[in-house]
This record gives sequence, C-alpha cells and structure tokens, in this order.
Amino acid sequence: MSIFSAINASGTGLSTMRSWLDVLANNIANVNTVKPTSGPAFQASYLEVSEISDNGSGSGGGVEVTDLRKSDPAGRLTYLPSSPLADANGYVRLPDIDMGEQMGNLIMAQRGFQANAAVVDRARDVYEAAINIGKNR
Amino acid sequence: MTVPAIGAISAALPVLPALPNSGATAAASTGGGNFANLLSKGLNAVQSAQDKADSLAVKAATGDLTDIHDYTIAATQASLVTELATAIRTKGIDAFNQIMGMQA
Repeated sequence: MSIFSAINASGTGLSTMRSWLDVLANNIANVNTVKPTSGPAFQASYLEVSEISDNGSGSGGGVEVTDLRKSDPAGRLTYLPSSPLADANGYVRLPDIDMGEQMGNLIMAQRGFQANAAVVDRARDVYEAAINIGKNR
Repeated sequence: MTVPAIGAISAALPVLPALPNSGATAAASTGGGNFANLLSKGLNAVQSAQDKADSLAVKAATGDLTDIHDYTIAATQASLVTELATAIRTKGIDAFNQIMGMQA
C-alpha cells in the first residue's frame, strides 16, 4: 500500500472504464456489420474484470480487466438478398447486438469513469488537507 | 504545462540533504541519522514521481499516451508529493529558526 492508495485504485478504475468504453464503441460501430453465412458474424466484445488483490493489507488494489469475452458467432441470420454477401438462399449474418443494452452499458461506463475521476479529486483534497495541517498558525 | 514548474522546485530541493549531514547527524550519529535517511528517501520519492509525470507528459506530446488519466494522475501525485516535501522543509526550517532564536 503506497501513500496514494486511493488515487492508485481509482486509476485502475479509470483504466477499466476506459477499456469498457472502447469495447462498447467498437460494438456499437459494428452494429450493422454484415458477414456472409459461410463465416462467423461480427462478435460483440464483453470485458471480464476482477479486483486486484493487495496482498491482504486491507483496502484492496483496484480493478483490472482479466479477459475479453466474445458474443455468439452465429449472430442473427437475416434474409437480405440484395446484399452482395448473401448466400444462395439470400441470407447473411448480422451481429447479435442489443443496441439498448449497449447504450445502457455506455452510460454506466461514462458514469463509472466520472465517479472514479471524482474520487481522484476528493482524495487529492484529502491529502492536501493532511499536508496543510498546522500551516496556519 | 505544470511540469516545468514542478521540475524547477525539485531543482531547488536536493540542497536539503546536506543540512543534516553536515552537523546534526555527526553529532547524533548514535541515532543512525534517521532524519537524514528519511529526508533523502522522501526526496527520491519526489524525484521518481516527477520523472514519471515528465515521461508521461512527453508521451502526451508525442501522441504515445494511451490513457489520458495516466498523465493527470501522475501529475497530481507529483504535485502532492512536492507539496509534502516543501511542507516538511518549511517545518524543518521553522524548527531550526526557533532553535536559533533561543536566548538564555
């Protein structure tokens, strides 16, 4: 545990939320990506995160991204005969992405980032208060 | 940017360790020179925090910075550590001045 544990833990939170934001941006960008039925559909990414252990010293070390999970490669079989990627029966694969879910997660990532940034600011104020003890005599 | 200002403070700081080494630790060498060790250790921590912030500032300028908050957090820590060092220096000088002002 360093003297800036709170700031360091929030920093890992900020990094995780940023990774989440990146992944969600990619998912939303590819919401209409069409793939031929011969291959897998675009697979949405989901982060798997876990806490960072602080070797039993108590306050914990923050959070980290441990894995990147992919959604179902089958996607949604869609009848789209006008597409140049359509197979003989006129089907293509669209990604199985729920836009509402992605937008909800996006707001959670944004608010999570802001919350961690607020913790950094508050922690800074706290440490500064500690430094200023006894300054105004 | 804030970093040059922090660097300027650090340029002034390393003068400090000479103070306890010259007289105080020689007189109180049985105590192990704890204050001097702590002081130089603290100043090294200040230096490393500022080095980290500096290298991240360079990364930001060259476009190699992947996480913006990495730099802002490092800069915050560097400024806090510098503030702490100057606070300790002020306290030390206050104590020294009080002792120098003692009269029988």
